[in-house]
Amino acid sequence: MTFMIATVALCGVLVYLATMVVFAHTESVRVEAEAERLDAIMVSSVRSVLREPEVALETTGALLESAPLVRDQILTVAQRNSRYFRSLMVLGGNGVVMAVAPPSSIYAGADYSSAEFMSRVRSSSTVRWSSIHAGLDEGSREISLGMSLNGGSILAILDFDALASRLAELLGSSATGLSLADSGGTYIVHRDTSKVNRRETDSGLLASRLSNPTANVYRFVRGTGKDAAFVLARRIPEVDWFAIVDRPADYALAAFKSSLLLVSTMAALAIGLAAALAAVATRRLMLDVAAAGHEAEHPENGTKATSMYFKETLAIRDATRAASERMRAKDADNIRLTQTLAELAQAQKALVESERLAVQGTMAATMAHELNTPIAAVDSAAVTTERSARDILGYVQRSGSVATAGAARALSDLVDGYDPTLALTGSTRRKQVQHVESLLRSRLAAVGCADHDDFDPAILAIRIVDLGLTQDIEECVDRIADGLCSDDGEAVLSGISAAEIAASCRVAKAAMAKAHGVVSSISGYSSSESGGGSRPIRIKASVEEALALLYVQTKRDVRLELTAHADPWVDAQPATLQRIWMNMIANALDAIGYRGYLGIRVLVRNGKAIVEFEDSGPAIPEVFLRTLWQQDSGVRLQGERGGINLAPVKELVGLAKGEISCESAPGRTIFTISLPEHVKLGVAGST
Amino acid sequence: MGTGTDGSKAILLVDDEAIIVLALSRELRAAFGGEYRIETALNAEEAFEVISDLEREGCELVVVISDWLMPGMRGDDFLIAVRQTYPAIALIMVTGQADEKAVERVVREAKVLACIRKPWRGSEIIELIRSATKA
Repeated sequence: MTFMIATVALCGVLVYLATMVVFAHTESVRVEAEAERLDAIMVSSVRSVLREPEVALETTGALLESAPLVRDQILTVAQRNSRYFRSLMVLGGNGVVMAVAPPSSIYAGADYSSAEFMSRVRSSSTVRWSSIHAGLDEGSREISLGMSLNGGSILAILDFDALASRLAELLGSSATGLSLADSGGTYIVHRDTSKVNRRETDSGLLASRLSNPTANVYRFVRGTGKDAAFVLARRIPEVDWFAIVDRPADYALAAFKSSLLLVSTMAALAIGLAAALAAVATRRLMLDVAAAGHEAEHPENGTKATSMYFKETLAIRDATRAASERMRAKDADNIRLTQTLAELAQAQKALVESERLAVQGTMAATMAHELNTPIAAVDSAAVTTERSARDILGYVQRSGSVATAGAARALSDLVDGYDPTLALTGSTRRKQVQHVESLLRSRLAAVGCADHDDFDPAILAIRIVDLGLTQDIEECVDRIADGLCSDDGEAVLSGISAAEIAASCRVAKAAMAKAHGVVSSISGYSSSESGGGSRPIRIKASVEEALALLYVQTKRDVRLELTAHADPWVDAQPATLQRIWMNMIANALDAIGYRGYLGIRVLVRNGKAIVEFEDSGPAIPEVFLRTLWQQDSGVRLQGERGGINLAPVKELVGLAKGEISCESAPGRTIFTISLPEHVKLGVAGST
Repeated sequence: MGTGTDGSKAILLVDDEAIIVLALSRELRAAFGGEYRIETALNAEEAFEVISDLEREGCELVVVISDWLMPGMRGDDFLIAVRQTYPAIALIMVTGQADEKAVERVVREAKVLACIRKPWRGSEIIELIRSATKA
């Protein structure tokens, strides 16, 4: 394994180095080409610049031959070379200054005496007289060029900085200086002598370089060690002047190229050595492990001196195992913690829900109590009133004639059988009224009371029918008619009123019973357990209570069916279940609109209590089914179909540890709620 | 529906709760005696049947009082239908629960005299009937 790693690493390094060499070569070719181009620019530029002083010198020499023209000629020369000349002096043979220029204001006069000037020139250590000479005044950083002619001299002072700037402009940033030397190699000047190793730039050395007619590029080293830099000199053969261009990048590249091979070789050797050492160490470790393993298997033959490597290996293995154990323990802790947090969140939700339900339960309980009180009072009053009405009927029955007693008994029978929910209405009632009226009129006529002033047979017929007369009609009508025609006819009329009072009390009692039913449902919804936790609940009864609470909502053209294929028990908070059923019923009714079908089925499937809510409303589009349980408006989440927001229902079902799902097709949408059946009561409770 | 040929007049009560029609019919009969025949129906279909009977018998239907929330046709639809056929009948809607839109619609399209909330006050309904029949 170690061999493989070492080999792969070595190959990688070699590939890297090869890539670097190719890159360096390519870069050097590019740099060489660039250097050639710059050289061409430099040559032409320096040549054009240096030609002008020559012209100047020649011109001024000629001027000495024709003194009258000096002023104009000097002016011309100075103007032509104004960028580079700081001054130009022409000295007569007698030492009289003939002209001294700044170029813009050439004048002749006594400002400079030839003696004074010559004295200054001669006192300068850097100016030597020769056929052609050059020097640098380091103080003023001026270049002096001199030429001796017949009995006189010309001295041009070049502005070195202007010339160097021009050169830099032409050569770009590569040009850092200008060196001038005569063809004899006697003098060399440099712009910044402080940075030039004078020994290396000695004119003799430069001259020797120049002696090589084929070479025109020279390299000089300046400085040593870290401060080493390079000076590149370019010879201009036609004029024997040199431009010095600083090109350290070229030489850095050259140095890199020259050192690259050495570095690569050293690196390869080092890597090879490391690989060899690793191989040896690995081999030794393997041998030690094998020996230790053998010793472990055969301790009696052991060397009693397990190698250091094996001990470390064992230690590492043990530490790794311990770390793995700790990691596993941490993972287990994390899982437990996550579960605990989830349970805590669920418990918090349940607690909040429980608290909310408790508040609602308290309010509903208060409302139920407040309603129950008047209901009880009205119911009691109705009972009492009915009893009083019956007392009146009893009095009429006991105190009057036989006919009166018969009428009172007939009325008592009507009251006894009176059921407000069976009251006749509509055409049936009208026909019954007409029939009773006819019978009444016939009987009254038969007993001689056809024209009685105390009552209207038509109205009497209505009153008798509204007392619930549906059986033994003729006999009942005859008794009442006989009583009305007796001497106690008014008592019979009072008996009819008493019977109506009793019937009204029955109506009131029926209304109170209905109100009590609703209040009971509210009480169930708000039962004290609502805030206190789960208890076994029968699903069917719970759904029926929800339907009772939503009774008014179901009063529309909706076919409502509640089918219990079983009646399972579940553990849940009563109010939670109520809210689930009420939400599902409200959702279905909303989706159905005013006309349609709502089927509620209760069953048991795979040990789960199932409640299905099927409605005939429009289908929920597939795209909306995916987001049905999100917190948003119900209608939007169910597409064009109506419906309420079902996200709370899902939460409620979750609190009851159940699940809810939905499948939807046009005219048939089914929500299925699955709840864990109560363990003990579930099966026994199913019917 | 014009004045009944037999000279009688009727009031029709429509509510799906029998106890309501029983209670209200007794209340109205006590108030109006034989002045109006009090007819009852538990739904719109039954009510239309009664209206046809009355028309056939020549009895003038002067007031229809209907609940709003009923199985089958809802009260507002019923009253609007009555109004379309019988423009002269006074209409009253009684309801324990009606949304504002339904109320606005029935006022606009059926031109009901009033929408009365349950529990009603008998005197209020009686006064409404008296004012409607007087006009």
